[in-house]
Amino acid sequence: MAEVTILSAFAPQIACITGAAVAIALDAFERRHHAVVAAVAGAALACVLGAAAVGRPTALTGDVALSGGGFSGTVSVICGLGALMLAASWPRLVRADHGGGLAALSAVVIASAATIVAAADILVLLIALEAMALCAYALVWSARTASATEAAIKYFIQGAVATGLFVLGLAIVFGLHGNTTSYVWIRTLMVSSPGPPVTTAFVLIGVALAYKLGAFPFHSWALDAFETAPPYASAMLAGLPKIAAIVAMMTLYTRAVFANVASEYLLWVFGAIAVASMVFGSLGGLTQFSYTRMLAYAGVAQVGYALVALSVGSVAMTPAAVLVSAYAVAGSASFLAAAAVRSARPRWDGSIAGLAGLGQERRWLSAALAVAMFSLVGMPLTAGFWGKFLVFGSAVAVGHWWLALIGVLASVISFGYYGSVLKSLYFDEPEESFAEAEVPGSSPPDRDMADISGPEESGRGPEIAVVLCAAVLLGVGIVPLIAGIEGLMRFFTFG
Amino acid sequence: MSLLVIAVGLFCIGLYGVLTRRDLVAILASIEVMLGSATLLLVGLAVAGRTVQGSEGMVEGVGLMVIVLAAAEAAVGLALVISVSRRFKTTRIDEIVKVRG
Repeated sequence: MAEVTILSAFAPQIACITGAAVAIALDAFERRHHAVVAAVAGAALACVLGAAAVGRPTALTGDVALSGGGFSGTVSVICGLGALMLAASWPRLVRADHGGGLAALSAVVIASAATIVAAADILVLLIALEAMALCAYALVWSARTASATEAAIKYFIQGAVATGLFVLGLAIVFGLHGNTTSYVWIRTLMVSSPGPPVTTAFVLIGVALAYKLGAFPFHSWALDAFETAPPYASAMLAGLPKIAAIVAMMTLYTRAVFANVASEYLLWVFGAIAVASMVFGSLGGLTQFSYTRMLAYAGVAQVGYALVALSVGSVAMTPAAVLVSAYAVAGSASFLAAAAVRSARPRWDGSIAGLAGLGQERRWLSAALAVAMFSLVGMPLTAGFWGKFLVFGSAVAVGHWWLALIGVLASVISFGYYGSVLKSLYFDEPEESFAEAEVPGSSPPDRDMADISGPEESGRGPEIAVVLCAAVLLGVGIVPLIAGIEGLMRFFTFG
Repeated sequence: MSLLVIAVGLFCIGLYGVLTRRDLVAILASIEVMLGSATLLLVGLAVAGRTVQGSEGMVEGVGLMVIVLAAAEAAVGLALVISVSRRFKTTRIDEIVKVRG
């Protein structure tokens, strides 16, 4: 009976990784269409299985590797979003060299993110993080341009250092004190005040996770990687790993490491990173001209809002999941919108100003992009509002009103750059150089970006996916106003 | 305790290498030193019998996992370095960054 329970609890992860394995096998036979179908089907099945498991009791009480059923709603969001992003980049992947392999890599990213969310064992967390990171390096590199290669190698070096920190921390804690690696053991270990080496080790692990998140002092890889990665990769990597890493940090730190000891540590360590990320991300985005680089800065700020929840403690677990899921949907949609804009305007140079006048040209795409921007700001009637409302609300409830205040101020500042996108879309006149064919001397700033687009434009897929994401954001924003917030909370709760 | 000092010392040598070396292959080697220090700590503790009762085999198992991880990382890293050297005709990181300006 026990095996059956475990199998059904991890059904989403199993479905997803099966899809990835089939995709790799099919790619070996040059069956790109079938490979992408397999990867999308695996992720979509995982989404359904995850949603079906919402409300099932979890198993974080025993000595288990994965908390079966825990965060099923979040797992479902990860798999669903991943499946949508994969399906949207279908034509792009089918035309690419080893496109089936890229689909398989994306499916592994989805599966690892779903595993990280459910991890209840630090070794499982490490292995899943590493599987995700290795695929992410390859996805960033897969544009095969000079700037993408450079971004990938920088990403790799910084990620490898983070892995080194994590591994050293794990070796210290486990080697000195452990006979298992589960979170339950960590909780009992921390109660017995194990001394400075263990405390240092958990700081190392925290730094490593902050690296993977792209929080402020450790963010520099994210800016390059998200600016230069091909849209299908940045859409995949902007959302899923952030959900996974935030939920993993919440579970590890609020439920295991600091579960029974005073949480002032949490406040000071993560509160400082949260404030730094919010301020840096919001101010840094203001001066950007490139649309994707602006979104990368916005991502740093959004990680800051999520870390506010982490410094509040375990009561903010569900709010954090709501906030980061809303960010992932809106963020992935806006990265994918870059692909849609490029297929509408093949000569787009990637700047925010280059979006001018798109509101008349592509009504649905522009409206969807506007919804995504409003959700990122946290406007009411969008999903992003509920995330920020719940997180800042929980911060005020435990008396950290200053964290909430900084968060609200940073949101106001961030409207500066989200607003500039809206202004470009709807109020600016289109520039001749983008509406018409060629203007001498106005070559795109990055020559490599041109060979990403050009003949390989990706059709209507991205546009439809962006509109779908916007519909979800609006739906999740409006339905709780009528039906109450409890349903939303239950979907994202730990179990 | 001396094992801990050796392992952390080795880790710091690796970190220093990552931060100061400018050649990608040397950086990769330094990363391997960092990961190796963690393996050394785990295996050393197991051999010295300093681990907790009931963890026999488990510590070595984790050590083995770290080795697998390091190997996977080296494989991806070397593939990236090969791609860099083909495209830029150099493996020095400062020259790659200069290309982009």
